[in-house]
Amino acid sequence: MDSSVENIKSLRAENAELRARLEEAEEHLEAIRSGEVEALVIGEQVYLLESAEAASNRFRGNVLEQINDIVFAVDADDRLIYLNPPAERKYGVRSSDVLGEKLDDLFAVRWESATDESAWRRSIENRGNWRGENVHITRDGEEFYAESMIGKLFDAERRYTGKMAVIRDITSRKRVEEELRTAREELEQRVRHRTHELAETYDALRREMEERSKLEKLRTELLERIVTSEEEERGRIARDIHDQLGQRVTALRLQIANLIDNGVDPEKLPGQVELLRRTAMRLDSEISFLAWELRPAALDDLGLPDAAAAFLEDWSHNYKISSDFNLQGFGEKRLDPTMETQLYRIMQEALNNIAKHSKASRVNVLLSWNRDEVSLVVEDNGHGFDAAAMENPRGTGKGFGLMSMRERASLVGGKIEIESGEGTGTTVYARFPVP
Amino acid sequence: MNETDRGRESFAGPPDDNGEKYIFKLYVTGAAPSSMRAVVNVRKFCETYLAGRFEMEIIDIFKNPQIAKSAQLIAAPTLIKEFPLPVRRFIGDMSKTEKLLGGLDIA
Repeated sequence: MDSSVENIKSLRAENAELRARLEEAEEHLEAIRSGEVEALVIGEQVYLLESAEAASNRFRGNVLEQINDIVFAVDADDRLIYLNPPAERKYGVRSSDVLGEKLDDLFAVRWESATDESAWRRSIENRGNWRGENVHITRDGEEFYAESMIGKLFDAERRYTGKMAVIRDITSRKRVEEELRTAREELEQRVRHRTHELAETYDALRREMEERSKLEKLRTELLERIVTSEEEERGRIARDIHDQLGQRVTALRLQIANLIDNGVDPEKLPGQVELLRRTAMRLDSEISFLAWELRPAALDDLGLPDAAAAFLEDWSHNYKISSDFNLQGFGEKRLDPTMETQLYRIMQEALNNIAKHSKASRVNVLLSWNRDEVSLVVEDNGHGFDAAAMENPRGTGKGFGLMSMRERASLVGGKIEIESGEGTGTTVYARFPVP
Repeated sequence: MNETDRGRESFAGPPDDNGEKYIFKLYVTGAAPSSMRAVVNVRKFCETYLAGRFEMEIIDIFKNPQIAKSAQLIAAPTLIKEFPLPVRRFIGDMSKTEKLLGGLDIA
C-alpha cells in the first residue's frame, strides 16, 4: 500500500516536471520566434541569429577586450552593460557582478572645478560627446586621474541607447606634471632669489667703490696738505733759525766786535764775558730745541717710552706746562719702528696743539700696551673746543692738526678719538692694533 | 570570467527567514543588444523582488563556448535558476516580469 502511494507521488512529481519542461520548451520556441534570442547553441558552436549587427558587436567586443584603456558602456538608464578587463582591474570588480548595476555604484567622481562638471553635461547634451579629465574614486577608495572620452550610443533607428566611455589612468602623468611644475616653481624662486642677491651684492659693491673713491680723494687731499704742511714747517724752522739763532749769533758777533774795538777794560771784562757766556748758552739751548723738534733721535736710541717721556719733559720745560707721564705694559718689548714714529708724532702734534691753543696748565700722557692693542692718551685741563665742529675742517683751515693725526693713525691701522667741550679740557685717544 | 566563481559579497546579502538564496546563471553573447537588455532586466528584477537574497553570475558564451555545451544551452540569452530546486530556465531578454515571477514561483 505504502509503496503504491509513494509510486503515485513520484509519478505526479515527474509529471509536473515534464509539464514544466514542456512549458520551458514552448517558451524557448516562442522567444526564438519573437526575436528575443540572438544566438543558438549547438554543441560548442554558437550561431548568431541577427547576423550583421551581432557579428559586428562580437568583433567590437573582441577589440575592446584587447585594448589597454578602460572601456565601459551603459544603457539609457546609466546601467552598466559592458566592462572590459582593464576596467574590471582598475575598479576592482568582475563584470559578472556589476553588469546591470547603476554606474554610480562602480565609482564616484570628483571634479577639479564646478565649471568642469557643467562643461561635461553641456558637451554630452549638445554635441553627444565629451573629452576631459576628472578623478575617479573606486569602491575600495582608490583614486586616480581619469582622462575620459565619452560618446552617446544610438541604434540603427538613431534612438539613444546609452553611452560608451574610454578612460585612461593619467595619474602618473599628472604626478610627473606636478613634480615638473613644483621643480620649475622652485627653480624660478631660486632664480628670483639669486637675482635679488646679485642685485644687492652689485649695489653693495657699487657703494663700496663709491666710498673708496671718496676716501681715496680725501686721502690725496690730505697727503697734499701734509706735504704743504711739511714745507710750512720747514719754513717755520728756517724763520726760527733766521730770527732766533741769527739774532743771537749777530748779538754774539757784535759783543765780540765791541770787545775788540773798545779794548779790554779789566774792570768791565768779567761782565762782558758773562754776557757772552749767557748769549752762547741761549744759543746752545735754542739749537738743541730746534734739533729736537726736527728729529727725535732718542726714538731710535731709547725706544718709544723713553723718547716720549724725554720729549714730554723737554716740552713741559719749554712751554712751562706741568706734565705727568704714565707707562703700562711695555716691559722690554719694542713696537714696529713705523708705529713708534707715528705714535711719537701724534703725541707731538697733540702736545703742539695744547701749547698753541689750549691755555692748559697741566698735561697727562698715558702710553699702554694691552695684549693686542697699544693706546696713547693725551689729556689736558685747557679750555677745550667744540670737537664736532672740528671734524669737518675743509675750507676752514682749522683742525688740520687733528686730520694730520688721523692720517698718521690710519697709516698703521689705528684710530683717533677726541673728547672735548668748551671749558672741559681735551682728551685725545689713539688706538693701534698690534699683530 | 570564471564560471566557478560565485557572485561578490554585495549580492550575497542576508538570506530571508528561510535562509533561502536564489542562485542564477545568466548566459549571454558578448554585449549584444538582447544580452545586455537581459543583464539589466534580471538585475532590476532581482533588486526589486529578491533584494539581498540572490547571487547572479553572468557568463559570456563567446568566451566560454564549452560552458554553453555543458550547461545544455540551446539559445542565448538564457537565465538558469540553479537554486532553489527545481532548476528553471528562461530565454530571451527577460523583459516580461510576470513570466519571471510565475516561473520562479515568487508570490
